[in-house]
Amino acid sequence: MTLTGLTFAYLRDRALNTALNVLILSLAVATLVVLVLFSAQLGERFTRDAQGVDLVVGAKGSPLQLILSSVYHVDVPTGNIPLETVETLRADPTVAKAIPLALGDNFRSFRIVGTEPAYLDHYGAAVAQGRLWSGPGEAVMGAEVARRTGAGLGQQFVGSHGLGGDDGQGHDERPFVVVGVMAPTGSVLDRLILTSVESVWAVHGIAHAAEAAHEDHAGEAHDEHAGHAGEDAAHAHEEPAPANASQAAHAGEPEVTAVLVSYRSALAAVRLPAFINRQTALQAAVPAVETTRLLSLVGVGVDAARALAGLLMLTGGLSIFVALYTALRQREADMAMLRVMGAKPPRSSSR
Amino acid sequence: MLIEARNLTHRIADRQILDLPLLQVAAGDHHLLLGPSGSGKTTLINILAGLLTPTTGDVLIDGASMARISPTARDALRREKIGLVFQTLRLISSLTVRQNLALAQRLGPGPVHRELIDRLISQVGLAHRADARPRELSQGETQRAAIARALCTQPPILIADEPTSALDDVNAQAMVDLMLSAARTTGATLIIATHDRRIRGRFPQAIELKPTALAA
Repeated sequence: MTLTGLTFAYLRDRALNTALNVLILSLAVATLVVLVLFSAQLGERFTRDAQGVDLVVGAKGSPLQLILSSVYHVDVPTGNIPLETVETLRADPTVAKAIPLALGDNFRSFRIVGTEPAYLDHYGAAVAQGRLWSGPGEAVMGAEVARRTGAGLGQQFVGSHGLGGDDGQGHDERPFVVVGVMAPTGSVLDRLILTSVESVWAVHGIAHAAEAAHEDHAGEAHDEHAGHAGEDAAHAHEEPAPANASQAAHAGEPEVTAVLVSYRSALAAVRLPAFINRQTALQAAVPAVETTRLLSLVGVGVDAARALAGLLMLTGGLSIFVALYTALRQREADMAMLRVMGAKPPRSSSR
Repeated sequence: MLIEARNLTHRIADRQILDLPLLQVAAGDHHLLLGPSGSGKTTLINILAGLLTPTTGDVLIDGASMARISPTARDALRREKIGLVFQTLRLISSLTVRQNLALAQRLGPGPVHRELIDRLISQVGLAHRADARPRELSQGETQRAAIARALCTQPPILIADEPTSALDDVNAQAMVDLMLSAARTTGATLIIATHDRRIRGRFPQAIELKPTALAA
């Protein structure tokens, strides 16, 4: 019987007590670690997804909503803007990149984004399997989308209206076909399905026609969604704003949901947002500003949760201290006996 | 003399607990320490073992002054020379009887001797309770286990405080036999504090303590 053996004998003798104390402290530490990791990863993810995007141009509305919908793909868009906005921005000498995004549909809650290959280049994404889209109806899946949906090359899928899940109103007539799967990037691209802007328009043009045929007996007043594509009627039930590029097909005027802009020179930061915000239908939102605002809002909650975790840890620590102190008091006689038998003071008592 | 104490007194607050002008015990002697409750038997045992510092006087163990040596040296001296059986029967609560004996040997001066442990456990009649914890033992069984533990390091001096108080006649005699036998085998000095009349006739020598509760 060694003193280590004696220690374990003590622990075994009060196994439940020991286990509960370890559990309390573990839970407290785990909570704190999870919160720290969560807040760190949240900040990292926001920074990574917005990296290189100096400005987002979209329809008038909340700038935070515009950033959330177009950069992080977690909110509904504020609306659509004319396609010529893209050309106007590209013609500006202070703009290095202007990447259009056309949103509106999803597949199993993963957003289908009409865009250009430059969007992949922006995040340094590469196609791991297959190839990029080259024609209508072709799509490339993000790594996480492919993993979670199990979709593989050549597989067809049907996009559903809206951005938050399958609403049961899919574009059955125009299925997409998977022609490529991206390698993991650790960015928002992993959770997106990319296709060409034209494919999004095409899908909705047909969808609109189909829905229009059912409109009368479906009892849905088209006026209610005036200026929107037929599928927007469906969208409007779940979204606060007409929020996809399908308006292009309906109105005959090609539109996009947002444009991600990278500056060529710092001068653009001074001039461009003000210029865009003067346009009646457009607004410019700066991801860095909106992300900071969002993090400060989220940060209050994180700070409160962190304080709570700290309190939990303190409680756990105090609980263990009380348990140890009680055990020490209970074992004073044992320790005195150990001293009598010849244990040296540091081995038998802390006093 | 193996043990020599001179002018020992001990006071707690204004109460005198012990007053012993002279105590001499030769190596190999077997003594009973007699006296009524409150006469200072337990106090004297604690002083002899170096667990308590007397108010006045000194104890020499094999020539070493307990008052002059350091606490560390006192611990070492106790570990090497003295085996103790306490009145309050302090076994380590989380360990089995066998583990209590093994720990005593581990902390003692000699090597761990498993055969001796098993033999002593058997001799005190606890072979069937060797793996029981103290809370699973009766008071008499605990007392016998404490005696076995004191003997398992084969100390030159064995001091026991009321070792038979919780034992029936048969077990009381058996335990005294065991301690005497062990002391004779190893040549150990044995001091047993008791007021148990059953064992008085077994010891040729006795130290008589008288009540000394005097107010200062």
